[in-house]
Amino acid sequence: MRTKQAAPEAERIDPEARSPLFEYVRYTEFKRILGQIALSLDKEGYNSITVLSELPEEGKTFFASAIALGYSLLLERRVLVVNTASHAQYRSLLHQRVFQNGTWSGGTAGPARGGPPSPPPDAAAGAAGSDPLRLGIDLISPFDDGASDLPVSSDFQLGKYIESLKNNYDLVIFDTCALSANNKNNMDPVVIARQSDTAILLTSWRSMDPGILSRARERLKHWNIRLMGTIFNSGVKAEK
Amino acid sequence: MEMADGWSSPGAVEAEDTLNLREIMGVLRRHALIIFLCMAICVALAILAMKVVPRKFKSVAAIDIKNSYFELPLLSDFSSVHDPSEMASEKSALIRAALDDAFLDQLGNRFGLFKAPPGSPAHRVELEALRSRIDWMSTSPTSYQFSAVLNDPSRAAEMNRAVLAQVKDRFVETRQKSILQYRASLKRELDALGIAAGGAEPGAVATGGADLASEELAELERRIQALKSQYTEDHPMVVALVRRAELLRKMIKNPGGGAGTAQDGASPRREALEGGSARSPKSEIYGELFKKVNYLDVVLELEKDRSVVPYFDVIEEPSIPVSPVFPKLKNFLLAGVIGGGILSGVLIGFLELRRTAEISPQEISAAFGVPLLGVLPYLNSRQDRVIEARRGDELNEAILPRRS
Repeated sequence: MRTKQAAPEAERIDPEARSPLFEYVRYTEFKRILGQIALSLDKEGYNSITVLSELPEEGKTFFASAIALGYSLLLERRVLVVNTASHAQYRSLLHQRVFQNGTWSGGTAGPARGGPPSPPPDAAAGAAGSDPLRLGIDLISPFDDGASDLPVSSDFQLGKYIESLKNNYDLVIFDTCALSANNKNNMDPVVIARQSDTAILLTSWRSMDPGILSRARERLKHWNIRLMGTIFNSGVKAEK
Repeated sequence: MEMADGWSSPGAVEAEDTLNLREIMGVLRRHALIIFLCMAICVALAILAMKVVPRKFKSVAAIDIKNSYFELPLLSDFSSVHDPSEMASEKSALIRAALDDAFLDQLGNRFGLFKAPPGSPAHRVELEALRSRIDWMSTSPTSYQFSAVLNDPSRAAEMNRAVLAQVKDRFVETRQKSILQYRASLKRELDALGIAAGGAEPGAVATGGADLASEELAELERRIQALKSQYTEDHPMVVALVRRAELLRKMIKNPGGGAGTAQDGASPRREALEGGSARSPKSEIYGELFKKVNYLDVVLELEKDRSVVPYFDVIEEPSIPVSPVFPKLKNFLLAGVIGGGILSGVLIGFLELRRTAEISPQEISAAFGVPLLGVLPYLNSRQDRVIEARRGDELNEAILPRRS
């Protein structure tokens, strides 16, 4: 697996020209959701969460990104985002563009392949740093851009790998592919969810169908996935 | 509604479920604006149509055709129609016959309703259209109501008047024709008996022997007495009978004279009449027939003036309508409301069918047995492009920080 390295100094962004996601996480509705999740996780003592959805394109990546950004920016916590889906290029760019600009700059070369990343700097020091955009977010993606093959047992190995990293982060977020997806190149979201402390089910107008939701419920129940709650993404429209 | 796997979806509508009042009210509330707009538009269109469509006025009249039409005052066996329903059918048939194509043609030309050349299929259509403008119906066994519709009130009344006149003429002509036919057959019978009745023209004085004249006179006097008990001396029937009686008295006084006295050809008649002191059966028959012919002449004389027809009365003169029968405001308003209701119903049905099943986020959470953590907001600004995760290029543009 590869970890993304911190952006070089020359690519620092104008602090005023932030992406819309930075504004989104400051909206009241989202902050309430963030607070609810943080409270639930803290109460249960969980620090890893998997974002699930029955159908593709319901906003899992967006939600994972927003939660990660919210945790880092608003709650000043360290977050590790693990991308377990072979997204199309634009989605991997989502992770890269958002988080690359916010990763810590500790270490010049970054972690060796297969090894753990460098520990993050002290959060307080980071917050008091001169760069107000420094975010405590790391991104792990088993997929290279354009890669199509994946070792067969990588989803089962991921849990052990992340276990070794969990102490470095306040929260680990697993971004997965859809439960209904049948793609051998993806890591199975059920396997991933069982290896995390809890999961959040994302629904939207697309999956607002009794049949679809029944299948999701049966799947989660059958595989004994611990659900923390559901989130409804009102921004994703139903299929025409 | 309980579906498979325990999902409950109160808002979803399945074929086997019945809609409850709350759901219906919810749908109506949701689409109240559509309902209001559709109603308003349709009512406005209806009012506009009302201003544009040509107005129609209906003139109404009523007549009474007595059953005495089928009788003669002096002859009881004139008509074979005695049953009231049969009489009503006869009258209806006569009215229908009066409003024939020839009359409608003349009426249409008089009121300028025809544009197509006569004899063409279009003219036929215009004729039928004119026929549909004229309506009549029976309001009682003897009364009938007539109506005529035109785009001008006074013209409608005039057309109705023309229809009534035509109906009256038809009734009078038919009756006179019947009387003349009856009289002609009686004359033939008299000729067959070898006796010329004389007086070929209606109203001509028929002659006969003194005995016959006396008999007729006696009969006439009896009739006059009977009529005087009902009517005054000035009654036309009484006057006609009295006049006839005077003629007969003159004949009796002067048996050799009198108009139309038969010459040699009357000899066989005279023999039949005067042969023998006892009256022969032939003379009896002759007497009866002769009497009837005279009575028929009296009736024809009485009914010569078509302006006074005892069996035909106009109960209600053709009215000049004040308000149009079409269009009527309340009918058009109702049509607008109904049209708006149908249109809004179709639109609402289409919109409701497009909606996904009414499952709320709370119900989803409840079905999974977990809490609803929240609803991600949909921001109606450029930030909504962040949420549109389907279009990669736009997403990149949304997520990418602006480079300074």
